[in-house]
Amino acid sequence: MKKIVPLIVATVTALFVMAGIFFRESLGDWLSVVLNWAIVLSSVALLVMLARLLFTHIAYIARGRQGFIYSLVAVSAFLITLIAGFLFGVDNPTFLKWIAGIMRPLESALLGLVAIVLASLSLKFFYQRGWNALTISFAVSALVFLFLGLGVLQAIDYPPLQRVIQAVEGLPMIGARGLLIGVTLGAILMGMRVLIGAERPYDD
Amino acid sequence: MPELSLNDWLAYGTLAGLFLIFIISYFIARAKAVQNKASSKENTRLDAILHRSSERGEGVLVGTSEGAGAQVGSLAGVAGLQTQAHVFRHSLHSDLPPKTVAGDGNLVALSQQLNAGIYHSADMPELYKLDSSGLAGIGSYAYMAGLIPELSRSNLSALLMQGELSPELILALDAAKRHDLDAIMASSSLSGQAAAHFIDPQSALGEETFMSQSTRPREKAGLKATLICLKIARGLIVAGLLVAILLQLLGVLP
Repeated sequence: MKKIVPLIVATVTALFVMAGIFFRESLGDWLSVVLNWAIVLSSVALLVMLARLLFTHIAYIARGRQGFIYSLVAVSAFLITLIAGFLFGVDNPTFLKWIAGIMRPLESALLGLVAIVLASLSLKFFYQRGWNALTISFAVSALVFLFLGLGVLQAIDYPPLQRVIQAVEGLPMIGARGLLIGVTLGAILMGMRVLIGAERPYDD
Repeated sequence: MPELSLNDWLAYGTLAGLFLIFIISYFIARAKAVQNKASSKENTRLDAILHRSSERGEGVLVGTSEGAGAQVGSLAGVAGLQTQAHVFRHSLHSDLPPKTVAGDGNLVALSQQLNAGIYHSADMPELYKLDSSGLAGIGSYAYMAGLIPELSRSNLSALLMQGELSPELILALDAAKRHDLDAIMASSSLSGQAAAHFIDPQSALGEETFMSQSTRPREKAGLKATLICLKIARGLIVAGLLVAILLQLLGVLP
């Protein structure tokens, strides 16, 4: 019984949501209710996990664990943001500017780090795998797209060249579509597995 | 009911057909699994990592979706949860238990529930720890910022990541390589797949992201049915493309 009830709830909910998409006129209101429940439940789950994260860091500080200074920063930042959010409101422009002022430089720094890591890995790529069809095609395409990114060729007013550029710029999209079809198929079949209870992420 | 075009009917018909084939092949695979309980042992990359970590008494870190909130991403996160369950089932007696981090509250809650169930099913609920699953951070950068310090844990042997993961995963993968950890990546995001493939040629591409490993008959039957349906779907797509090319060459299609 303990195993069957969650399975029935999951399957019935999935079928109801699918039916709601087809029969929006008659089931639309009920669908909104079910989706609102899902939103409320996931918000509560997030809140619980945030509280858990906070208490874990507080425990690290209390125990004086190695690197607890980072926990101190995390807890202080969390509490300051929470109190400021309650006091000024989450739509307050000053509050949003303050948050963005901290978040954007941090994210930009990480983005820069990603770029550096990618650049160093691209060099390692040739070193580790040698010169073969894959590495050569990678090098050629990287150079071609870096050059196209400069916009020099696009500035030349010669229609046949523009058509060639357009065709070359469309090449990554062709490859991406192939992968996207695979991802979509995988997602559909994963959905089917959950729908019939072959996969139960809510139960062992 | 909304007005459906011929294309819509074709798409829904194909989906319904796939669903039927999936159900039939699932129940056939399930029946075979019940008849033939002593299934042959698989020797996959994940199993090799799990054996190695068990022998050395080292831990495994599992990372699931970063919580982008995408619909496809949440399904990839579910696949990641199944992999996590497989890892935990094979590491019940490990000296250093595995740990899961996620970037989404739902995934962490589900992960904790799954882990508790695994230890309970193995009659060792006292070994379950609530912090075996935790929230790393919400959003791709916060997730990475929470995940990367976990790689510095002593006695860690592998990093397994499966779910919706943006190209920033390359930071975690690079950190794992620097710590000499084995790493397996499966992202449902196209840019994430490209970035992971750059470092690890064996990382998952396309639909492989949704293939989670299991030794349980129910999940194995689901995977077998998925593989059959994928073969049929691929055949249909190739046939469709060939027919479209032929029709265009003959001037039927504009």
